[in-house]
Amino acid sequence: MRWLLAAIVLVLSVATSAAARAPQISVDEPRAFGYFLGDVLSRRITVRLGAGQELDSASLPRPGPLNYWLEISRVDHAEKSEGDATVHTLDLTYQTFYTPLDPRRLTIPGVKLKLQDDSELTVPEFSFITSPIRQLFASASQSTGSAVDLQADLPAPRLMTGTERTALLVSALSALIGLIGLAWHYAWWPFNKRPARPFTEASRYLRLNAAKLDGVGGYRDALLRLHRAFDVAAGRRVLADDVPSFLGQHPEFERLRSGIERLFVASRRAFFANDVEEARGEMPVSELVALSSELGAAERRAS
Amino acid sequence: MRDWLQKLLPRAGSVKGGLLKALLAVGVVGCVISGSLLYSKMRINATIDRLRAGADVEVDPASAAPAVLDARAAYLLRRNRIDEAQPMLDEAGERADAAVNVRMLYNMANARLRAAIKAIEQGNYDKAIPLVTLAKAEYRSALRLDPEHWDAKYNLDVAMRLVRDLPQAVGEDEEKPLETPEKLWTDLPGAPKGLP
Repeated sequence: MRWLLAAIVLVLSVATSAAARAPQISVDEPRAFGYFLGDVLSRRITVRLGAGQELDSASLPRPGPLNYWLEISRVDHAEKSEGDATVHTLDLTYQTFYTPLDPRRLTIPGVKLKLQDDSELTVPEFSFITSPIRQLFASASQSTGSAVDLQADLPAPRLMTGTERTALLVSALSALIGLIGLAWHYAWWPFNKRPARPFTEASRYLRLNAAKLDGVGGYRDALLRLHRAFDVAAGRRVLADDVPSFLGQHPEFERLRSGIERLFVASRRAFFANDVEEARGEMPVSELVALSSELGAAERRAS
Repeated sequence: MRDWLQKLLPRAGSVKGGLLKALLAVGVVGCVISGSLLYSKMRINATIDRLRAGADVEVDPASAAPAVLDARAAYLLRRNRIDEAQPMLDEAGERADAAVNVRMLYNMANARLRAAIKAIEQGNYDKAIPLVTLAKAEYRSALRLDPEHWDAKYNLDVAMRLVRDLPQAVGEDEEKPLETPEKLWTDLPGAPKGLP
């Protein structure tokens, strides 16, 4: 009984170790029908080798013609180890140039792979059905008429310029954004502050509020507005005595000298002599409005 | 958090000018590069347009762009000027991408096949056979680069029926490989059984 058990164990262990050592080969085949001339077929051959076994890389098929109608166009070989086994993946791409007159079965020959210990693995042959792409008898003669009508020449296409156009647009836009941003940042041309127009502003205020300013407080207010405009235009306080020098610096107002002098006289009366009524007699609000609008017009003409 | 922001903000203000300058510089460089690329492409397209319109524009194969080689070869081959087109193909084989090469090979093979058909119609078979063989080789080259080129498949089929590919080696039968001699022996009737 004991020896029987031992024998079974021995047989089993031999069997399993032999199974582990035997190279395993499997092939993923493409479809076996429906091919025309020029079509490609891809076969994936997976070889699983045990420990100590090595594939002789010289026995791998190489790209090139196999016979007058079949070529190997690509061979991709990959190798990876799984435990102590090695898995080789061999992708063979064939191209058929057979021109059948009727559907017929063709055979891709098998591949013999050698191991380093000179034993051989055989990848089985593969057969497929290829079909013609033209009718057999197009016309009475094979050398004239529609039998030799060719597909037309292909015209050379123009180059696509879409990418360059888009790149040009994008870079032009970014340059523009950069330029506008810099102009804004450094207060260049469109963003430099316009010079102030004090007389225009004062004239606008007086014109819009002429009715409201026709009182004692309002008259002072109107005078003050005009004074502030003179101050801003001159860049300093302008008093009655400064009028000649102001007009020397701003000759555009020279034409209005008499009006300006009357304004300063009225202003002196209103503020220093505290006699607003007299001042209003000297120069009523309507005249102030007229003077301010003339000053504004002269200011705009000058700049 | 606020202190940190306040510390950061003035620095951001000083960085802004630099960023804007960099943006402007990148934009200008991009404009110059893409503009010059666009200009050269538009010049190539102008040449292609003239060739397609039928103008006989001379092209130097050594310096022309692949697209111009393509257009020039198409122009020449449509007029059956095969010998003049050959330098364009040779040059394109070195420089052009697969799509251009496929088109040029296909057009060249078409021109050869047209010449061969003309020769066959005149009964000049000695001239026709090498032309068809060359055309077949060029269709094959085109199909190697683009196996889905249906026009090339069709025209290769036409060429194959004019001059058929045949097995080169004697005895290489494509349908049924020859049976081995051993098999032949055993199947033979009246094989010697060993007795006189």
